[in-house]
Amino acid sequence: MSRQNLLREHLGSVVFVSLVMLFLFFTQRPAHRVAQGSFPDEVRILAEMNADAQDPFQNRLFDDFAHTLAGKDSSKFLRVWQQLKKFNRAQMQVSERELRQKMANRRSFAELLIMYLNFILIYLIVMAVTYYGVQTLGIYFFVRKKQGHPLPVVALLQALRRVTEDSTWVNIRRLLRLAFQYFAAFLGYLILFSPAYVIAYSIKSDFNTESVLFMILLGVISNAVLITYANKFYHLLLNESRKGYVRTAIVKNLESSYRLRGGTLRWRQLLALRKNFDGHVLQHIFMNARYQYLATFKEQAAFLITGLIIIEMALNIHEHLSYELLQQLLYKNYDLVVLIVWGIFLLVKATEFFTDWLLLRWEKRLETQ
Amino acid sequence: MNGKKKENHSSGRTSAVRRHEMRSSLSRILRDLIRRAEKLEAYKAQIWLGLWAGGLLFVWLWDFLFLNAPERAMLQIAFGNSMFIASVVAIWTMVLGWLLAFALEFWEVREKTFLKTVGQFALNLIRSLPQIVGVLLGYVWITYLMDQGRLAGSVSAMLWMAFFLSLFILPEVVDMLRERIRHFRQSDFYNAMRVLGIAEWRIINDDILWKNSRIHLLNKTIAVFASAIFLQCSVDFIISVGLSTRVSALNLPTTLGSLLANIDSKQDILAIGYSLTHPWYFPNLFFVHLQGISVAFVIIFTLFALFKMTNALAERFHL
Repeated sequence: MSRQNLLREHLGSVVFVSLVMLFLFFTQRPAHRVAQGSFPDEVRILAEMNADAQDPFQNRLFDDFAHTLAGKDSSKFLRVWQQLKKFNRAQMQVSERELRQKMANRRSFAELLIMYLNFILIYLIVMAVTYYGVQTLGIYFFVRKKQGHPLPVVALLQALRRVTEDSTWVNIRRLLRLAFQYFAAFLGYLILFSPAYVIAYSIKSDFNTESVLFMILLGVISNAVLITYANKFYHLLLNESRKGYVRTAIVKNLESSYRLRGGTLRWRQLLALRKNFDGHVLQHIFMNARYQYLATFKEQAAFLITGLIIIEMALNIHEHLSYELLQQLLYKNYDLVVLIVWGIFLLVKATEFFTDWLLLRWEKRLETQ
Repeated sequence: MNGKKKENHSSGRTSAVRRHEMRSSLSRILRDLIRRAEKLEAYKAQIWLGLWAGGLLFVWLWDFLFLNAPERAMLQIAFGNSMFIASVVAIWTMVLGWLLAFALEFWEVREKTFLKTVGQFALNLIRSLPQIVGVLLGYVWITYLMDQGRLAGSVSAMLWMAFFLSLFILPEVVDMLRERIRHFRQSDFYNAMRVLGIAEWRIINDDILWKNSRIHLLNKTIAVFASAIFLQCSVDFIISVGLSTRVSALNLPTTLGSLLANIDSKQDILAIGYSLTHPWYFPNLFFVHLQGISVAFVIIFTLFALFKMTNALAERFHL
């Protein structure tokens, strides 16, 4: 499917879902509910016929009717009428209590809109930071791979061997440093793979976990968002580096050393916001991989929003959209649930639309070139 | 005196020689080990599988020694349920994904535009809803069924959970499979097979997906398994924390996520923060706060090990 068709399809699905959501929104407005309980079917049928057990006229009519039809056996019908009284009372109590609870927990449209805008702001910041983090970390993994570091277990054994052959303090320190580095990397991985709620609960007693800044930090580092997409980007770089044009460029003497100390690559270039490796083969690998990475941006957006929702819901952060979604689900305010879900859907769609538009523009530029 | 000195001197020399011999033999052993370890590069995925199993076994043994029996039993049940759900999700997602990818490609070739558009539209719709929201709404449906008494038994509840999880993980599997089919469609062998009169369904299912994409399928299955665990734990945690008053009465099956949301586990996790500011409390985490720490570790270590496995496969087979 061409990108232009994709853009059209996005609009189509937005219209379709919006219509469905609006229909659901208007049909799910608060209404009284039938009381639940263990009442026989006869009672429920009478209730459905709007029989009012408190009405003396209806009571008398039912009494006469029962006597005429059943004679001496009319007592069992009169019991049904008594049960109907209880049913009516229960129904009123339940519906009133539920309704009170529902109405007390409802939010106005303006309140929800503010929460939604706040959610979008946090999402955009996290997205921007993740975009930078993914590229930086992906390139760092790639450079390390190209530097040809041995497996951790091999590196440790080599350092241990050096210590056994020559037990100088320098060798011992090198071994300890290496062991510490690998242990720290393992801990770092564990943090990156931790679901947000584990990190948040583990520091909840000492830090304010409800601040926006903390949410942004959690959104970036937790739920494996950063590491998953950094790894994806790393594999894109790796696959790109295996292509023929890269080998040709290297043969034609384009700089291809990946040493960060004393080489042509600099840490500054690696950490820069706008990455540029001019004069190095990495520049071409990076540019082509970045184009492919943009295509996975949509998937990342949905994943990231999932992460943010988890954070807000699991940490019970009040006055936030996802927490509100959970609360409205709890109080069965389904119209508001529909509204919030619709908002989230529109946000994902907007990201998808933007990504496809960006890719379309890029493709057109490449075609003209 | 001189004799004694000589004796000491010679014994000192002997011990130095012995030390030297010991060092060189240790160095030889280490050299052999290094040589063997260097060959492990090709077996990284298997090693991580082993490390995962070993890590879980270690946690179980530790819990066997230091965690009380009822909590240990609960942990085992939660782990078993979570693994069961994730396995069912992995199987269903791969089967459904395969069927859907094949159907979409088939409709495209046969120019069944309407069916293809509807299928693609539905898939994009699922994709546009964040997985957690979709699964959460699915859970609302499960609780409704339970409330109505239409869902008896934990196995059927777990199967429903697996269904909703696989529904929202499905699009990424379909995308991967369709990408493989499109990639091979551009190669000569596809056209050659078509000219030979081999049916489209056979080329797609047998030659492209089975013979040439098995390793991709394996890799994706592991990734789906990891996604299922992550989503399931998150939703169960959220439900247990946010909707606890309603749902606890309905008795959803215990999983790692719901066990983590348990008040005892939460206290255990809070103790990590306490030990950051009170380092002498740190050892208590592994003896006093074992339930929460074990659950959290099992979730995180499983996600980490599965990531390493997929990564190793991707690197080895250039996926």
